Amino acid sequence: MDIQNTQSQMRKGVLEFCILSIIQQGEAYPSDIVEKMKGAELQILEGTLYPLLTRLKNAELLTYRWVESASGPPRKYFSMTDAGHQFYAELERTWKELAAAVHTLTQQQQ
Amino acid sequence: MKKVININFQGSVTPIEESAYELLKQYIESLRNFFTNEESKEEIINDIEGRIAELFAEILKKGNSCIVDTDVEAIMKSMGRPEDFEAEEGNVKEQLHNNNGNNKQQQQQQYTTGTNTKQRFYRNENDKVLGGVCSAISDYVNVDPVIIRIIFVVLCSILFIPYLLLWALVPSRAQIEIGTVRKRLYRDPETATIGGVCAGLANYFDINVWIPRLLFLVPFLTFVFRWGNDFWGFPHFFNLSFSPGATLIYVVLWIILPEAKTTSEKLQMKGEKVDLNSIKNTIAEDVKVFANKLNENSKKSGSAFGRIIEVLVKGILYFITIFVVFILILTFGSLGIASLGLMPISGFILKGGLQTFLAWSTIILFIWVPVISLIVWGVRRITGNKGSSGILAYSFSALWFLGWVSLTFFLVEVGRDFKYRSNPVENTVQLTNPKVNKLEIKAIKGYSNYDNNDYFRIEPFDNIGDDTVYAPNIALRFEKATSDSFAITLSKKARGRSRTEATNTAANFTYEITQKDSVLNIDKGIAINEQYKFRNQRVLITVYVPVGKRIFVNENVQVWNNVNISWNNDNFEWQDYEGRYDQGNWRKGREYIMTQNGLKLVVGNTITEDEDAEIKNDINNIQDEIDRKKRELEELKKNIPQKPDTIIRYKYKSSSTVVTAPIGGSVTNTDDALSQTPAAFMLHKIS
Repeated sequence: MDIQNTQSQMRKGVLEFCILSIIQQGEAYPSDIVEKMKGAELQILEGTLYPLLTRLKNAELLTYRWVESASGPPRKYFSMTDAGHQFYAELERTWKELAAAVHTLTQQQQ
Repeated sequence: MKKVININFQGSVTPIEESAYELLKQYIESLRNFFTNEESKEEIINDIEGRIAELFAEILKKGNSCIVDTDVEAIMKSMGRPEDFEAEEGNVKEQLHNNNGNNKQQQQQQYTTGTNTKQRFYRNENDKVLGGVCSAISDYVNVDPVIIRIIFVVLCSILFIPYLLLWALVPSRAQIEIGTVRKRLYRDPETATIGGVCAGLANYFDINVWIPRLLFLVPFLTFVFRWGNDFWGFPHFFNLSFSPGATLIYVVLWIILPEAKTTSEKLQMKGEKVDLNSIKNTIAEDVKVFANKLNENSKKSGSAFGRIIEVLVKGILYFITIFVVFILILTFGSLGIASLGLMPISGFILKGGLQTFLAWSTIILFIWVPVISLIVWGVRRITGNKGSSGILAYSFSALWFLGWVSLTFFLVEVGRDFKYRSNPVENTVQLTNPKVNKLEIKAIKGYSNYDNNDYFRIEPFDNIGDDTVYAPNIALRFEKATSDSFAITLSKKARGRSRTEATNTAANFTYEITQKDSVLNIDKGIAINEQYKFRNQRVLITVYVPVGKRIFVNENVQVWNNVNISWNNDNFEWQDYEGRYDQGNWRKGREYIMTQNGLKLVVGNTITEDEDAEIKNDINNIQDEIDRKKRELEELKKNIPQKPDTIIRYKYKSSSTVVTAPIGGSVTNTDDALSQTPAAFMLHKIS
């Protein structure tokens, strides 16, 4: 069994949820998201983030607007749609259940 | 000092060093490649480029005049490389390997529905040995590709052309990679055995490296099936020949194809994208390889001449090794085949379970084990498979050692059956007409006329019937008769485990001798059956020839001496340990006459003891002929008219050398001669 594979799978599972949480709290642009994730000790690469955001956008869970910037090209600011909010609520519920379950199980092992 | 160019990057003009620009371009290419299957890949790429542009803008704002290599590298590091990206569906590896989206869908479909959806017929690049044709067929009919491949190989002669056609016409499943550099044909010095030609070819066609190697070796081995009588009477199966064609092609390719030395060339050879990643990986590998080679090559001189010699020697050594291994396989293989061929007559030699068992174990362990192990070793070497060869070698050696043991026991055990000699069983043969003048001894087949098995002769067994084997173990001896009649005695011998058994065996076989006027018909061979088995039964026929009578032995009589393999049946002495029976120096196909002093050769009209008399006779005749011809020549010469005594002397113009030219016949007109000679060669006549 490759532990890196399992670890990576665990990460992948929560990535989407984490990103959505950040956006849910307010409009954000990609490098902002990267910074916040880094602040929460969860590293993510741009190359992973951009496709993910695009997919979410294509699924109409996110929307964006262009914002001109003085330093460089315009930026995409992402925000949640209504569908996105619902989606997020579901995920939050799932996460809470999972977290509780895992917590219980790991507690018992001790 | 580096060249700086301006690029229009995401709407802004950005000054960037050329080398940095190359790095950037390759990075974006690799990203584009990675996202080739994504629906919105252009958007993603755009976003990423936008981010990079932002970072560029920051750098320039800080006061840098242009973007340099280190900037680009830093960005690449922070943004990450494609293989580090985590994809949502599938895994990253698939995306890196350009699996067609269709392919994935189809696989999923098959897996879930379990039915065979109708697929288009593509060649499968991922599962190919040669061209992926068999793999495609196997996908289409849902049969294991190995089975399809075996069918193709077995029916090679019929299916060869269709295979090539399919290979050329059917498109391959893999799409052309975007941003791939065109694949070029190089020699591969890293995985080279001799010159790297085959390795390079393998890389270009993306096939396993031993395939082109094998193809180059095949012309060297021509399998000639010749049903001739070979050295040991074994069939002539194999023939090794030196193939100049294949060697020539190889050398030509060697000279033409360049070596893939630089990293980018190496990548081009393998068809990998020449981007930063692959270059990095390749260099890392190279460093390792180089470090290893540094130890090896530290003493080697770098001269081109030295390299040529080195390569030649390597080539020769390789060839010799292959040759030796092949010869070994052949030798043991032939032995194996021969021993299997002996099986039908084993019933006539071997008695009982122990002997048969030993025979089988000897054949398997002693003969076939080295064949199999050598073949396996050869195949492993060719396919580059370095498995746990230690264990294999060990077990094979152990088995072969057992083979030796088995062989020894076998020989000892069978030898016991031949240990004792019988007492000779003597019979007198009645002759119908003992007073003939000349007796010709002729061998006939007293049994049904069986085709002599020309392919496969195992001496001393000549003919093989269904339940009997005939051994021509005959010895012929001539003695002076005491009376004026011919007399013949027949002495039968055999061997066995004990003297009684041997004598019993000897008494129990029949050998017919009948006379028909002046021809003595003897059996061609001794009939051996399974009951008494082959125990070196032999007969000694003693013919008592009266003085003045002649004897002639026909060519078709086969005479034998024990169980020996001899190269030619004509001359040998027959000796028996119980006493020296000097057979005498007679040959088949010659007429002899018995005189007071023994058997003498009859040549023409003379009687002589000299075996070479015939030849000497011939020589004499030829000599006579020569003498005669000489005399005739002399006679003819005398008839030539006398040549004149006069010799006309000529002299060179400028020297005092005298050239004498004797002229036969009439004297020529000297004036004419002078006028005809060229000026440089003026001869003046001196009277």
